[in-house]
Amino acid sequence: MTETERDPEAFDTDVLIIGGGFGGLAAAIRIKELSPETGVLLVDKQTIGWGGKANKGAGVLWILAPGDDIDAFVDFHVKNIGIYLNDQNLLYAMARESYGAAQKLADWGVNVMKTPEGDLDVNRLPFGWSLAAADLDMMQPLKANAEKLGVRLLDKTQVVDLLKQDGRVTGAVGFNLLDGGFAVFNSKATILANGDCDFGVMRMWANACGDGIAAAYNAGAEMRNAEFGNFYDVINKGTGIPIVFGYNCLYNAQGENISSKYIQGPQPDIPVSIILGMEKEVLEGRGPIYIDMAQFAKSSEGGAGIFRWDRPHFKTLFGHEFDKAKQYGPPPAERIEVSLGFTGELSAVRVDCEMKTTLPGLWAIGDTSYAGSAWAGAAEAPPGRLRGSGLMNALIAALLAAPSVAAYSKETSRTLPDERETAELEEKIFAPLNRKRGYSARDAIRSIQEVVVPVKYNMRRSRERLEEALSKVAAVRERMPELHAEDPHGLVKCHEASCIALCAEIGFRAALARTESRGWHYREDYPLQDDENWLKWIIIKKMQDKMVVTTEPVPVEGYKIKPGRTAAAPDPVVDHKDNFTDSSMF
Amino acid sequence: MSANIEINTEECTGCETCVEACFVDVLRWDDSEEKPVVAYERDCVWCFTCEINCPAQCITVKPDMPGQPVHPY
Repeated sequence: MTETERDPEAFDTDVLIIGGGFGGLAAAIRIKELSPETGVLLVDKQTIGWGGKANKGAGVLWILAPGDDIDAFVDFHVKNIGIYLNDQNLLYAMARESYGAAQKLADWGVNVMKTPEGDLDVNRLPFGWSLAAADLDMMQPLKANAEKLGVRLLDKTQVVDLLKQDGRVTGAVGFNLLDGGFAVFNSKATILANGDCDFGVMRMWANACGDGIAAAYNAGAEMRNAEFGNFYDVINKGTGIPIVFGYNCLYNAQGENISSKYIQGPQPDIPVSIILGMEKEVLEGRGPIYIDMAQFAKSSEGGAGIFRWDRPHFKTLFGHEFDKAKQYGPPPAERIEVSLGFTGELSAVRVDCEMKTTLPGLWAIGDTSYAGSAWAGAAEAPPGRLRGSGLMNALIAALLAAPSVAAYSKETSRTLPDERETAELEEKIFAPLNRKRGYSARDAIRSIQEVVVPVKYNMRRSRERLEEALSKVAAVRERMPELHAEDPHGLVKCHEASCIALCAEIGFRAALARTESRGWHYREDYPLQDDENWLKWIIIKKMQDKMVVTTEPVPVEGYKIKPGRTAAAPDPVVDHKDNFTDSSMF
Repeated sequence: MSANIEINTEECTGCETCVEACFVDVLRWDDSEEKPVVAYERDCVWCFTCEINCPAQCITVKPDMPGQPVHPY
């Protein structure tokens, strides 16, 4: 199809929500609840009600339940998970909103587990927070609710770029997967809810390719905490299926318990030390690594307790997967060989406490901005060492964004798209279809995966290896103008490849800039935490077609939890004793 | 990641649930036959959603395990 044959389809709306997963649907519903007269259009590259990540995970909801101490939780999080890079105001807000948000989900018809008395049926965890749970058919009642409230739904439409006028986001452009038609969206307010970047590695998160992150970056929005987009977990090597909390029961080929060797004390979730330890054992010839399934089964009983609730759809999905693994995977055994599964979860779009990005007219919620919102600090987000926080981040972010989106769309007028800008974007979007041959998107994605997946590049980081990784990513990015697609399905892959490559560069550049180790970011050449120099967020922004990296001090002086002296800091010249809260933490 | 997907079109009732449920655009709808087709099998991530939700139980997904192709060490 040539450009002249394409007939653009135009969509006008007050609010455009890009991404019809859990967060996008929650935002759409909440905006219509607050402002029924506001027009809301929800668009997804696949099918609303089935896509997204929420219905493919464990369905657990992190909450602060009645009886959980919110101050103690924030204190624990800042000192042990976020390591002082948290936006503590937003962390408090998330914690405060969590219980009510889970109840709200139940009000919307989602099957949230409750006690016979009608309270949320929660599982209290040993670190001072709780888990609630929802069944995995959650997307269908949300979709039905959105439709009932008058939200317009548009499936099979890939949004590629944002439109801007006078610095304000005024819509977006994309294409239809079924007929290859060009789509132009004209909106007063736009919400990115299309997930993070998982680099196409883990199969259930195949759609999370950083589409929204790339669109925001290319429009000039700031990124924050991109160095924490490198999540790994333990997986069954024979099936590739994650074994969540399996890190506690690992042995090397000599039968040595490597969990106790590398993990010190109880952990809220998988620690960096066991990932580095697994790699070390294998590189030093003591691999492969095994998990003791009997020990795991016993330890899991008291873990997240995800099997304690009676959830029919959860049982069907995971029971089915278990049966297939028995049929097509390696035979069940007491000791199962495990590996490290890289997920990534780069979620760096910077937002404030109302989920506003740094561009007027643009909000970002859910996994698109989990790390970028900074409430999780120096954690790989999601899950952010806080299982169940992926769903809750999406839900609470939607609830926090909705009032400001509704108000903004009321006080803003629509601006007609700039025809020249739209035409240029159309040409760029469809260019891979107009090439008879060229670079394969699958090859490009595979090349990026070969850089982001290895521990030596993305967990045991060093200047030398990060520069090597960046050079490999640059080689792929240079070939983006050669991408070739046969049809609109292939065109999606081309744009996903482009987003994945961009996100890889953003993540590696942030990792290169942070010359210390903190939380989920480990530098072999800077192995210590350096509060003297690095109580800073790394900010990445596109300026005149260049990726510019800057830092910004974390305003810890205004926060409740302040850092003490770290092992890495030199003897203070100035007396900082007022800042010491609990030096024993170090 | 990939899978072999078999659809027994004799048993298929044409409800389109599988096409709607497929979140990776592997299944498409054939308007002329009024049946689903496996259009992009190599992109199947064996989530089994189509198989589980098929009212006629006429879909079989045979996964190509394991799921993660790139070596981490």
